[in-house]
Amino acid sequence: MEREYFEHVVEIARIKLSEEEKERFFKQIQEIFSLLERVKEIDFPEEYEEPVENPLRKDVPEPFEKDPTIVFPKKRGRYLEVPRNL
Amino acid sequence: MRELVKELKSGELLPSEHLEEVIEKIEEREPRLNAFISLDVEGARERAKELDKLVRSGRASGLLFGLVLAVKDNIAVEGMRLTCASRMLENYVSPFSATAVERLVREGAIVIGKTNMDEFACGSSGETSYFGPTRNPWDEERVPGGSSSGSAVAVAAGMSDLSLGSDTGGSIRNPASFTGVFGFKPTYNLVSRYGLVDLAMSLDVIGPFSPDADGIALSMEVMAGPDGRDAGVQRSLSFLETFDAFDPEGVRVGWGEGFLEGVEEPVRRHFERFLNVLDSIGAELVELRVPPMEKVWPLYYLIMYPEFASAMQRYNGLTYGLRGEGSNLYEVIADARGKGFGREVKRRIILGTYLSMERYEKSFHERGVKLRRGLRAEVKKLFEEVDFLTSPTVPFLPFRLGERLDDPVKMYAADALTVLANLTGIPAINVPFGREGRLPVGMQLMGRWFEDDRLVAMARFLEGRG
Repeated sequence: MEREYFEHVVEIARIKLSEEEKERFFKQIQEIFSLLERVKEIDFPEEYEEPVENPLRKDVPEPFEKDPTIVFPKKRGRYLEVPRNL
Repeated sequence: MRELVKELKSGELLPSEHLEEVIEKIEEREPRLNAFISLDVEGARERAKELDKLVRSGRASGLLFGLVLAVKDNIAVEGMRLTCASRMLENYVSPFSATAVERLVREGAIVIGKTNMDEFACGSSGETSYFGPTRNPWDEERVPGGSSSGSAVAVAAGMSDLSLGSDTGGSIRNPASFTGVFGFKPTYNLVSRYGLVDLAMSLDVIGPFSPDADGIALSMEVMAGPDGRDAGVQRSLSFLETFDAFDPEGVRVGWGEGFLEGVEEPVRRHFERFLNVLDSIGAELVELRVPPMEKVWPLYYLIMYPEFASAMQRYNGLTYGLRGEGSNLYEVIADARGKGFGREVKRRIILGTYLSMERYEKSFHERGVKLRRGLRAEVKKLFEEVDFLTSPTVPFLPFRLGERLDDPVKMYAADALTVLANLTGIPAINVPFGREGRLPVGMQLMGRWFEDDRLVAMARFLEGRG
């Protein structure tokens, strides 16, 4: 992988990295790729998919009885307080 | 394990007396071992008192009555933190319980706490946790294995009777092997994944740890089976009935050189002893041409990285989790993820993002998926000749803390023999088998799809034979 392309992938992955981390990961990722290359040496003549049925349920709503607002500790009256997005 | 439940129900040993014994162990060993992220000692005491009352009034019931349970911190327990050992979710509290937990609690189990693990289950040593590494109870300078490190250590050190872990590439069996306990990875789609934070959805399963095979059968009896909240789970099995009736005489067990390449000497020697013990209990050993795992195991990483990167997209710090800073949306998200995730998680997200890009889709991920179907066909053919397959669980003994932490390729080699079960979906169990010095050694048995009950029953005959 070229360095420039690596920077592009990091941007798409939405992770802010320090220069030190970039150096480290860039090097390690090359090593991991040579590991992944090993699978080029294997092949299997046949393929098999474990049969799975697709179960469907009736379209009836089921109430969620727990309190999801536990995730949002700050409350104002009837409202949940969340941080501003920007 | 069922003997202990009997004592607890009869009042011979009250649930709160038993719990206090466990708490004493925790007080003694936890400061060094770091197996727990959250403990709920007071909550557990209250629950034990309620169970005491049931004993006194002769109403004690439930298959796991009074047993102390520890739960990996990527499995939801209502009202407790669910951190996945990550700074990203350091203060996240779960509003509901996983189906597996709910079922065990309904049968009388007492949740004592949430266990330490590799961050988002990414690791094979228990060292990548934001809350610090877990130590091996048999040698505190060595790793306990991972990623379900704390769950294995809790059982191995007597800090819980049973525990739950998750297994995507070996995360139950690996630490079970390194700490000398039973650890079971069920068939994919036998236990509901509702309430499990996913690593790679096509591979993840929830499974139990126990000091004995009986505890595995007992907890699986309760956890396995259909759950409307995970539509994939449609089948059920009678673990206890099979456990009590099983006879290993004439059972065919397959093994092959393909499982042994890369296995280090002390482990290889113990494996040979294991084959002898299998022979001595009446099993018929069959040498087979098995997939060459040294070449096959990287396939696991090829499949897992893209699924993991996709699963991790939800952590952006906007609605919950660590909050980022910045002047635009991109910066706020990238900052939260940069600060919130540890090294191994970042590495895996970057690799997964890369492998799922259109430019590489054909050469990597698509080929990986095709090879996985091929591997399933190979394994299906093997199971036409034998009932079980066997190999060591991990190719080497527990290593020193820090030794492999920043060498991912070396770290990943720990999964070489466990990923086969995840890639194909079959059940697999770690059987503790002897020691090398102080260090435990573990052997793996794998079974056919949905013959989990027979596999656990077989493991019982190998208990204490190391």
